[in-house]
Amino acid sequence: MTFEFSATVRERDLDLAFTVDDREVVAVLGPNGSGKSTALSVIAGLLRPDAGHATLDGRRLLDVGRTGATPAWVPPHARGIALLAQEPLLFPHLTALDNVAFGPRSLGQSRRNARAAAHHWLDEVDASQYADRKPGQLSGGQAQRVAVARALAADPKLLLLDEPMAALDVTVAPALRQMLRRVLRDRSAVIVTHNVLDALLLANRVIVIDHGHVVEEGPTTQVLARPRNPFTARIAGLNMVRGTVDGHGVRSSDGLMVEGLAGHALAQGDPAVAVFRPSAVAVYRHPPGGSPRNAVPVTITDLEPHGEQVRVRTSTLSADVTAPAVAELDLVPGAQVVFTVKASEVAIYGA
Amino acid sequence: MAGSRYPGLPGWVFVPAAVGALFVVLPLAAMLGTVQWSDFPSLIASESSVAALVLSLQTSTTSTVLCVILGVPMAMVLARSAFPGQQLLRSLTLLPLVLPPVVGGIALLYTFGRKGLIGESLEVLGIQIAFSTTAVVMAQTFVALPFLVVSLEGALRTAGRRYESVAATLGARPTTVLRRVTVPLVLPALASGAVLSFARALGEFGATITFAGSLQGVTRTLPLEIYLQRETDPDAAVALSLVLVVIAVIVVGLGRGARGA
Repeated sequence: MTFEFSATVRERDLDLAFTVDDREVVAVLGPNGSGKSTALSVIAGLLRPDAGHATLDGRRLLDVGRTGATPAWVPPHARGIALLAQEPLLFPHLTALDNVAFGPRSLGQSRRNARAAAHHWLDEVDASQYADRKPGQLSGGQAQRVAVARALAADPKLLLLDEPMAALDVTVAPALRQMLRRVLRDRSAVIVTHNVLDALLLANRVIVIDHGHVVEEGPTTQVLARPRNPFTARIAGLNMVRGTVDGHGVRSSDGLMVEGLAGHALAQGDPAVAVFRPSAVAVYRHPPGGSPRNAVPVTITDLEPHGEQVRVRTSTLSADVTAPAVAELDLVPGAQVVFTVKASEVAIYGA
Repeated sequence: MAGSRYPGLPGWVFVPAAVGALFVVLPLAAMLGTVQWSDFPSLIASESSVAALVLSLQTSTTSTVLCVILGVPMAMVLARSAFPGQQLLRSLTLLPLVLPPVVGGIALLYTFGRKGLIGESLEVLGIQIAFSTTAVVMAQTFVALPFLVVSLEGALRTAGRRYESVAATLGARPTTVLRRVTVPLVLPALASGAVLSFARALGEFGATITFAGSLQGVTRTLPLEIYLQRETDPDAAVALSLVLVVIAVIVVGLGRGARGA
């Protein structure tokens, strides 16, 4: 299976292109309103783009608005692409079993074979015990499991997942994520998410889109470890300063200077980013004198629990400190403090 | 019911509400009081009455079936597709709701009547529609169709397209989606819409008398029969009215049942 795709939807300011290789799970990351779900609708055939093309295994699914190309349009039911949405959207009048059997039935299988396939897929997602229930009798997590089985039972060449865990309770999401990890192995899929865990556990490759354009692309671990885009840095939980190379550091357009270690030699004045973990940041009430560290005066905007620690947010950077330190330093939103970070904790690379 | 919720209504609201309820119930009670119970069986069993009742039930059922056959696709096109002039078409479709039925009857007459737009050509083919039982069914369908279209279109819009989109990505062709997803989802609305159409067809008077006339056993439905009897035999008119009320109550009950399902 290979999938090639490009689309322009002017109304939603979307203009992007990407490919999915055989047995590859691609995570599409991006802020709300960046056009992720729109892209999935175009791929599934539910939305006609102003221009774009899509081929699946060499078969043209979509070709519109391109000069010189014969237009093509394959309706959603004939594409071999299933879509799993945020909500399970199980047909309320059918039992879980008949919901899962819907795809096989639609593809022309006999009632008996379709039901057998449905039993198999319900078993695959650990939902056999719900076979005879109507969707109204299922919890959100149970219903989403059945929805996964239903999508897989349709035997799609490409599976699209639109934030499949977003509507679920935090207590049931991890189990569903593990299940998806199991069933997505050896499959080709595109998963839209803004959860870094989904990308890490489910995807081989990530594409980051912002304002409808691809801003970053590569193997998941690499992109998340060395982000080049502020959104990617934020979901990877990293601090990022973007600017140009200045001496041994990066100077941002608003004058912030952060020194660090560059992996490769960078030319002065080249665009670069300085990236460091919030846990590498120390917080002071007053600038520590004569220190070789980077020191940045900031105003706290927000405090939130982060594991065992407290994440101290400002408009640009974050720091992780212990709860006793928060009390001792009297950290509250609006307080003016100094963030410091050792140059050895800061990675600098070209952007 | 366990516990009763604080209604949160100002007390004075109950006064006009009670007046309104009385306004509806009192005439029915007055009618009940006028019925000659001893003669009731013979009053409603006269040849012309039975003919009218049978004709009414037959034509109303037929026009309800027609409303479903024509109205379901109309509601789907109005709710799901987009084309130029759709708003105008929707308004025109709903016109019979607000049109005086007599005007509807005249419009039908000038379309399908002997000298009408299409009627003239049909006349050449030896087909006469006006003043036949077919005309009764057409008049009833004309006034009842909007009821089904309105209730079904609303239900289709409320249900949304999301289930249909999912069904399509699971490999279901449009006809399969329609049969296995769309129709089951709006079935309660379809049932209550059909009941409303039946009720409207049963009560139809103005368009029928204009377009179909009043021939006993052919076009004289129960409302027409009641109107005529009122001149000659008021007691029979009241008895027949009661029959119509009973049928209406049953129909409304069925409609509520369908809606609650």
